[in-house]
Amino acid sequence: MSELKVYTPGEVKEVLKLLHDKEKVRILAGGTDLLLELIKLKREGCVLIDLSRIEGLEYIEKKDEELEIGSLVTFTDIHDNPVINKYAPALAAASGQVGSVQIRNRATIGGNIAHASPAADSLPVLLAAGARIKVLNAAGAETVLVEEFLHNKDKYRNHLITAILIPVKGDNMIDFFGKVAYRRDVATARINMGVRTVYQPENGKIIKASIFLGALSKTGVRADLVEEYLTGKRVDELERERFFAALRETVDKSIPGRYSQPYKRRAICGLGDDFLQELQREGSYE
Amino acid sequence: MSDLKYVGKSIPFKYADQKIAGDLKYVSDLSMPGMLHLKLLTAGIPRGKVKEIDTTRAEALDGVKKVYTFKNTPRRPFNGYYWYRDQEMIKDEVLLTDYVRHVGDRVAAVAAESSETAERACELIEVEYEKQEKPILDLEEALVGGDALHEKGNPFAEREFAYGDVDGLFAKTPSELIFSDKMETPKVHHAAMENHACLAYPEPQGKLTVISPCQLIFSVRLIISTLLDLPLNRVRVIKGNMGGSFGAKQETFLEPLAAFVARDLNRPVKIFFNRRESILATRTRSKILGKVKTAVSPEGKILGRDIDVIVDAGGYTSNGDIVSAAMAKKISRLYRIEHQRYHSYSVHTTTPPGGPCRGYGSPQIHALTEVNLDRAAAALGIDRVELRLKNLLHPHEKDLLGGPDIGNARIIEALEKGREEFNWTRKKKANQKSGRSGRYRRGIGVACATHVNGYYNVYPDFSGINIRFYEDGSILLNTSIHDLGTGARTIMAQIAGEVLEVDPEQITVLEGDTDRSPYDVGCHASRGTYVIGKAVQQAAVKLRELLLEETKKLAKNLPGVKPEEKLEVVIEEGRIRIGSDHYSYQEIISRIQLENQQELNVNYSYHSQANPASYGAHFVQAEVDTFTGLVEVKDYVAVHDVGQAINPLAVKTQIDGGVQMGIGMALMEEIDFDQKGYPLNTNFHDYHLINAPAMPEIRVFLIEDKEPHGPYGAKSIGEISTVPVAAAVVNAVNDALGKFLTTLPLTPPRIIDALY
Amino acid sequence: MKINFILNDEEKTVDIQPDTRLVDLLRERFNLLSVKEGCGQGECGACTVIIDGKAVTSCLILVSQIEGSIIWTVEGLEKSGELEIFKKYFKKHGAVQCGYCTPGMVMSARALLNKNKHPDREEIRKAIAGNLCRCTGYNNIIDAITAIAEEGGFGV
Ligand code: FES
Ligand code: FES
Repeated sequence: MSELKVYTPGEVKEVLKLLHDKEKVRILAGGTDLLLELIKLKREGCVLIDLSRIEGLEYIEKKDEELEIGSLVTFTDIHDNPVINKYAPALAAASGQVGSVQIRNRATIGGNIAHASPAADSLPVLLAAGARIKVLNAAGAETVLVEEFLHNKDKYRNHLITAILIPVKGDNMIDFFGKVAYRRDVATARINMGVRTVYQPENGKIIKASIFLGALSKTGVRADLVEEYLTGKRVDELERERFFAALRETVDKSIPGRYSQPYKRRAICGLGDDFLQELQREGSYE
Repeated sequence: MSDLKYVGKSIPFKYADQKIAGDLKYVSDLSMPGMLHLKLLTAGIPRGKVKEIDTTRAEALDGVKKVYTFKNTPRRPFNGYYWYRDQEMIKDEVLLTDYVRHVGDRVAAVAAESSETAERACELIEVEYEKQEKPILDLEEALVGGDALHEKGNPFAEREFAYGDVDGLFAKTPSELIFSDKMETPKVHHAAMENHACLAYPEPQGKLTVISPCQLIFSVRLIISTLLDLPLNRVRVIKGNMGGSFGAKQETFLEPLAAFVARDLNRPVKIFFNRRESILATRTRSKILGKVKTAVSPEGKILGRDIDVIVDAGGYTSNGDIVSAAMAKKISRLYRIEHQRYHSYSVHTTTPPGGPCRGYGSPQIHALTEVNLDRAAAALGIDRVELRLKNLLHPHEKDLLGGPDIGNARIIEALEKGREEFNWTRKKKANQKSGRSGRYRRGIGVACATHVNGYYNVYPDFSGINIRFYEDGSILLNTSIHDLGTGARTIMAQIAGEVLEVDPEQITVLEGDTDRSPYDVGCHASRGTYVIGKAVQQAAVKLRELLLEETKKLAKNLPGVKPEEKLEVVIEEGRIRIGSDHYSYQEIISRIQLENQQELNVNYSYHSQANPASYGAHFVQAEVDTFTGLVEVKDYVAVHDVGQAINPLAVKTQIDGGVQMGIGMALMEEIDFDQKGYPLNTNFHDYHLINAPAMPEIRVFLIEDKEPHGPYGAKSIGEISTVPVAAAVVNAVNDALGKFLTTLPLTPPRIIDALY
Repeated sequence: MKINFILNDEEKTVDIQPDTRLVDLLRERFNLLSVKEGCGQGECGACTVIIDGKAVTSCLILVSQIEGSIIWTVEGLEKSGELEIFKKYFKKHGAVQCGYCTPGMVMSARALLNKNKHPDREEIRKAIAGNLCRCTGYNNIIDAITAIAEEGGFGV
């Protein structure tokens, strides 16, 4: 009584054709998000494009100042990968906190971005690092910022994500990922945060900070107030309370009046606190 | 103690190999030729009268055998709690309802050739409700709101238990010595890993057999026979292998439906729930809203206590009244309190029914009273362990409410042992030094608790045992035990083996089968080890006597023995000595069969002689992250007064498992509803259990001082192990925060809310 | 759809609806009843099997995705003799009560030992974080896995 049509193309161009030709099509990568809706997909008579036979989308490469990660790389592989741990440690950390071992063994980074659940753990770090993705459709290839992709999901609906491009973390940068959930392991983020800061090695002054919060909206929230506060300061000049206030205000602005607001505006300070400690540890400005 | 050979030993559980290898078939694994799958359509709204059900589209689906609703199923109301004839109770549940009382209520069922077809067909059933009525969710409102789900109205039951002069005491006690709390405990999902399942099939001669992973085969039989108008001998209920229960599978509500359909269609029928159904359409731990007022002298003597409880029975009565009485009966069995009153109302709400759940009200009532004691200790400046020690009962002290003798109650030793092992005093000092500042705050908590050992004096509490020797000296122990995964069969084998000096490996223990095994009340109320275990011990003693007696007859015929000569016949180390000659069981029993033409077979019925109290004292160190509200349990000591551990490893794992459930109740487990009555967490993604990283190491200590009527002095552990947990954890969190939080579970948002 | 894979060291080809879940294929077609379903949503781990060396929840995998994969269930470990050591220490440490979670636990533990021959208790906790057990409170399971790792002997 199957009403789900499943295609198993072996070539990317077949995928693109299916995406172009079929209605109600969904891409099946790892499946850990999509298959939660299996019954609904069947009921609606959806068409699945199973990517399991596509080769060549499971690579991790460093290219000059960018890491390129194939879209079908799993979170386990990202978490364990030494290159990623070196050049995008926050992504490695976030990947280690996605679901359980079993989920991480299946879930792919491409799937995580495409599905773009508001609480997805990879998104804040990708956003903070200014990551881009390569997408393809029948009309051709395009490289787009993750941020832009999330804001224009409709436009990219019938595209295939093939790779993620992440600017590498330089020696004068500090990356951070933090997550708060109601259970320490295997739980959905109530709030998460990805940070990339650039500082001047000579004096430890932060010259650029990019901070994104997740689980607040569908697209990730840029914590511009916090960025502003950090920029131009040395770590030892930071005032905890003012830093926290900026974090809180960011939360307040993004979910005013929401049931979860009182909790999240406090919990974010926990991540802020962790981040400050990280700054102190790593910020080798002395 | 040391002369015990099998009792007191950590013997691996029977069938463990099969479980590890996946060879053991659970009821959910069973299938039969021609078997149909029965899928329930459960209500998607909290409340409303069914106006019309259109099943035509479902019926038209290929592979659908029949669709059932209230129109074509028995209308006779029942209560899944019914286990002996003429038991008085409110019966307000039917197989399939025409009036929905909670999301998940049973509205229709489809029997189909495959489970997928049945599921699909359920989606095609169109239910129209007259209107969606107002939910009942708030317990205090339910009490006075005049809105009711059933004829009896709301509240549907009221209870009062009292002794001494409570009003007089409170009238004369200055208000600064009266300590009050209001506590809410959550509606908890049992979360047995195997979802609910059962299998029913027709047999020749109009007989119906049901295999169920249940706790009371004879109750399942009784309810089916009553609902389907069948004599008891036409219904056979077999306890199937079960993937956990914790009380969830104690009451009967699915089996009669499967049985009815199997009979109606003359085909085997299986029900296997999914997680959502197990959460919404079975039973839950009853939520309570409790108030307590305790009068304590400046020196720390508890003078009197007044408790008011509202029990949330959910959409159907189930045990919503009984659980209240069970809670009441704990209040006088832990501390010496001269004046006490317990009053309760039970109300129906538009939520899944409450029911039995590990501890049967005890974790709830202890959460209320043990958290409250901490408030008194803080106000009076008395150490919390000291305060408890001043009031705990001594062995055999009277239960002032009139309950059975508490027996060899060793809670004082348990608490003292725990204090020492936990390093209470040192940890307390360390906390005082660090003060309540900084992001992470540590606190320590303690709670004492008591629970039962069966039903003595309240309900019939007896157990039939059949035990026999095979001719090679191995043994068949035929009981109606229901092994819920706790190792009950192994425990029974250890007891029988000890008596008969036979290796438990050589003893087959059968579980319940209403056609083949002797009657037993069921595995609940912590009566397994204490009552059934005792029955096994006594039956084994009888078998031992029989063996000796028959051997003596045999001895007369031994070559060279003169008829008048009396040879000494004794059992020594699993062998029989006749005079100075030793024989194996095998040699003797074979000859008894051949020469005496006698089977070594004992039928024995034992009824419980007492209902002593089991005790536990738990100590917790918790660390609270004041930014995120997350709590980590850092250290955990559990001390239990068990009389005698039959299998220490089994006791330890019971305690660890009990602690896991209790921490969940304290910190994260709650079936939650929105204001309209829709459940918010109906899967393990949203309903969190304690998983491995969240579970602390548990340091377990046992006080083993024998209980007179227990088998080898043993008493219960399975339920009591979870009773003090929530209270102890909450006390530790409260200590860390300097607060008295009383709305459970203490979820991160609740903790943050209390702090800011 | 025809699908080829290696199941417990045997080559298999099945002709099956591609939207069938792996858990159903294993249970219904191959009668591998060690693979349990406790939630159907990847949250309990009862359906854990090993695919290409890694623990995965078979309730969240469609059979179309397993072409060419190497799949192990507890039945396979039993056949290969590897299960013996799990039996020995799971029993010894009281890691099995009702047993419903056990095969899934064994598979998660086995996959962990593929990757990490000497896991500490914390690492074991993380490795089985996606395997819920309501009976044991996990500590005994962690004891058992620790003992298995100590005895060792697993090739990668
Ligand atoms: S059944 Fe697959 S994880 Fe629960
Ligand atoms: S042993 Fe029962 S769920 Fe783990």
